[in-house]
Amino acid sequence: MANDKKIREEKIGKDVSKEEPRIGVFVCSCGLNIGGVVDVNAVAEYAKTLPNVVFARANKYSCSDSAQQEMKEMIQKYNLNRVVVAACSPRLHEPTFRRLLQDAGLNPYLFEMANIREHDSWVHSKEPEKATEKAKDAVRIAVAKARLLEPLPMYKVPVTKAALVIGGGVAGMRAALDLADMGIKTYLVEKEPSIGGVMAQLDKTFPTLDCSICIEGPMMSDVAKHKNIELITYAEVKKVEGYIGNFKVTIEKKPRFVDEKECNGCGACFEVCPVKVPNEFDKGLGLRSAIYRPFPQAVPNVATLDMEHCINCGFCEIVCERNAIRRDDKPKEITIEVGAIIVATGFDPYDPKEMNDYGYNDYANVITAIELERLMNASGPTQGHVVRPSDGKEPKRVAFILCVGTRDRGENSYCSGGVCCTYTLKLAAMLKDKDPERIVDIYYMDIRSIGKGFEELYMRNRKNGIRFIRGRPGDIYEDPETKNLILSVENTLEGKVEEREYDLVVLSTGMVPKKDAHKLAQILHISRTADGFFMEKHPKLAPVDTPSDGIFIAGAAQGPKDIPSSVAQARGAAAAAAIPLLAGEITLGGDIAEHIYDKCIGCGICVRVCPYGAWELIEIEQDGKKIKKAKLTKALCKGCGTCAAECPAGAIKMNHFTDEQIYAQIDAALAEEPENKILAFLCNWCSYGGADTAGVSRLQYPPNIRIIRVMCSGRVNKKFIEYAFKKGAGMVLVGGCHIGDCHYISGNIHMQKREKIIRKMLDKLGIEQDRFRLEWISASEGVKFQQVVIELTKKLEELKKAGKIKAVAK
Amino acid sequence: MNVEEALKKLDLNMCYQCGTCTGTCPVARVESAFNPRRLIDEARLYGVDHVLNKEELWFCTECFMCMEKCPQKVKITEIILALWEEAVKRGIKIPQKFVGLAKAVASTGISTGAYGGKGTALSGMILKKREKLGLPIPKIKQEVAKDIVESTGVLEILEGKSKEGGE
Repeated sequence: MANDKKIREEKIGKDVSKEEPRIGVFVCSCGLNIGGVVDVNAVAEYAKTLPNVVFARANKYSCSDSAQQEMKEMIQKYNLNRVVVAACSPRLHEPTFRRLLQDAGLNPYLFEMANIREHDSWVHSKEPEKATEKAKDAVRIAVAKARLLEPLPMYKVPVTKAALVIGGGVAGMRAALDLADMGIKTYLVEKEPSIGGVMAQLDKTFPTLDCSICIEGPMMSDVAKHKNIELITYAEVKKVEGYIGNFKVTIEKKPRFVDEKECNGCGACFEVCPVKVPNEFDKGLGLRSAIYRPFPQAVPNVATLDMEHCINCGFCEIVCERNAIRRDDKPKEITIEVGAIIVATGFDPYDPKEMNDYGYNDYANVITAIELERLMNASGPTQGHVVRPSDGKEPKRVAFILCVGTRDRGENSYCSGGVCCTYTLKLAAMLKDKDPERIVDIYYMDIRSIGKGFEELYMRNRKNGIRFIRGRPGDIYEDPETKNLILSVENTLEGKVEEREYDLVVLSTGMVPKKDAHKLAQILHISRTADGFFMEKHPKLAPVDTPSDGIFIAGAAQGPKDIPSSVAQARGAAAAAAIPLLAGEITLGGDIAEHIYDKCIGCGICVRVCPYGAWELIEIEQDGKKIKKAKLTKALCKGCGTCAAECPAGAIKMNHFTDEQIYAQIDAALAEEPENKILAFLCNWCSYGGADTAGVSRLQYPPNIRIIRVMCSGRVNKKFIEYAFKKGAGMVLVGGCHIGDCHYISGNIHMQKREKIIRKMLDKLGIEQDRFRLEWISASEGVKFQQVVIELTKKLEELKKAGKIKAVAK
Repeated sequence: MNVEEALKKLDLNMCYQCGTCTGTCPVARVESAFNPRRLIDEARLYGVDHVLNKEELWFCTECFMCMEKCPQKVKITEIILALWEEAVKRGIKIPQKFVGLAKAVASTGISTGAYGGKGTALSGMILKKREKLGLPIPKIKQEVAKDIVESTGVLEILEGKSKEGGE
């Protein structure tokens, strides 16, 4: 089980827990940005009337060095223990002022910001009086929260300076080599008997047509020899516990029945073994013995005994000079500790058996591209002679069919990133090079071969007389006598149905996720996109990260990719993984969940809603009875607060966004004319940002909205909505990220589910449904935010006229 | 729902013009005027009006091969059916060949062309071949086909004689 044992709590700032709150309010003029609309002095004067405010002053630029110096002095002079700055968006300067508090000897979480620029002066520039009123409200809301702010610790997490790379293909090897070169102990776990991945199966690589194993082989032996790499082949990751910096990984090593240390790969046993079975490495086209090495360049260069097919004749034991055969070998469990994990498990070539089309299951001479690679490869089953399976003759007429099992809504709707287009160009070029008289036709819909030097390969093919026919074949028939294949296809550029005969048809299949990718996703707590590949933390800005800190992805495990892109991503992942490992320590903020143990009823809802696996359910004994309790791993919590909103027992406190703080903010927001107000709960990452964007774009909207910032819409408890309406709020808005964009993976989905419950509650309370609204507004959608506020204001007026919103007695 | 909306629901716009439908179409192989890929393209590019008057629209035999094979799940056969319905609704004259086919169904119960009043599939030659191959002789209840055709009034509709205006 994950635990926080290694976390060190660090208290910051002087102890203010026994002091009454002494709040200082600084109202920023921001030159004329705020001061040109809002009467900042009036706001500062108003602030002085609020409870616990002992000091308030307007200043010109709060973020300037001189203003910060002055604020520090005021903190000392008035013995302030809470600070409110009314200025721009906290998304901009909250870190600045938190640092200032820390410098002044206060805990950085004793700070609150009132946004009177993006959310006020910039969007109500023609209504200075109302903007000033709104600024006062914003300060009142901030002070209400500030009174309840609590100092929070920082958490220091020590880091194990070691890494695990899962998958020994070209991406995994590159990542492992880079980490090892940085002086980091790296474990490389490979499921197969040898590292090398799909690249080892290829004959040549595009676009330069250089020999695949000639460039990969040296890399494979570098991995085996590196002093910082521990290679664990024929093994699988079974369990991962812990968190960034402190993962405990359980690996199961399958029995090889050959002692890896003793075997020197001489190959004598292969020769004497009487069993012959299809070789998986050759896609079943060639044969191997029961004791075998998948390919000559395998690393480690040792034999593997396939017990399933072994007939126990004992010949191998007789010839083995080193006595390396171990018939009693058993699965072994290995436990390692690492600080970071890179997932580089690669892909599978699509298997057309599944679609049962193009005669792949019925006709011998319909093969896949990866099978052709093996036929072309000098160490393949035919020593590199391209022959057709039915009669061993050299094919004189070859057709390639593109987009098999890819760009197909029945199979995989995505495009495999142009990899199939380009390897087809490569294979076609090689076939033509070997025999210029050979007819090579490529049936395509689009040629999506995009990359450095790829167009040149396409040009070269056209020049060499390879024919490109635009159309996806409708049918394939086999001539039962010759075993030749007849393709029925519409040449779509001509609008004509044509039939052509070929000796060999090659299906250029797409790339699909590894069959067991879902298992690994579960083990690692990482997610997958709809297509089944592992999901990156952000498609643009965090392409090698996963939503789980400390776990990174590289290569085709993340999506279809060619070798250069896989290598580039592997180097990126290695660099990213090295950051915490080389820093030696990670600092986590204190604004995360906290378990109120006594209140917990062990229902497990928090376990279900937490996207990071920070909660788990454990069984404990209490008064002689076994009961269930939730358990939090702080290091895994990201502070979205969804668990706190869903907990039916009130057993989760969301630090820095506590229920008490939010209720106080609601009270403050609705202190005056609540029936005329729109109360909005906006998520920090999208909707609050959308409101900021409206401000930056100077989009004007009615000034009756009051905003409470939460980290995620998932935090918005239905009780907050109920409370707001009971306090007389005219309208309530909850804003979150669009579905799929949630900063915390699924917080908004939980808010979406909650909406139904809220709507039922409104019916029960007799509150008009139109008074509540849930909107997805991205940080760029300033216009949408403006429109929503305008619409809600209109609705508010209508409902008031219809007598459906009434002022509640104070 | 108007015909444009109906075609949209049948995924007309998902077509990426790969030609699988035409490549697998048994009609297209013998009659080059019929090209389902081109029909789909023209229907969305030039509009429904452009294709409704085409004689080849009626060449489809509803074998569903195209729909079976379409990699983009375009409901091609159903699109053609929807276009037929629209043509009837608008009172567009239907090619005699097609009306003849309908008559054959009415009289024989099968669609593969009239032959000696029995339909090709039941011609003496075919029956002999079936016997030789040990295939069962299809029994078609011609009265049932007749009943269906008569109760739906499809022949009147196709010949433009229906009083209900083809609804």
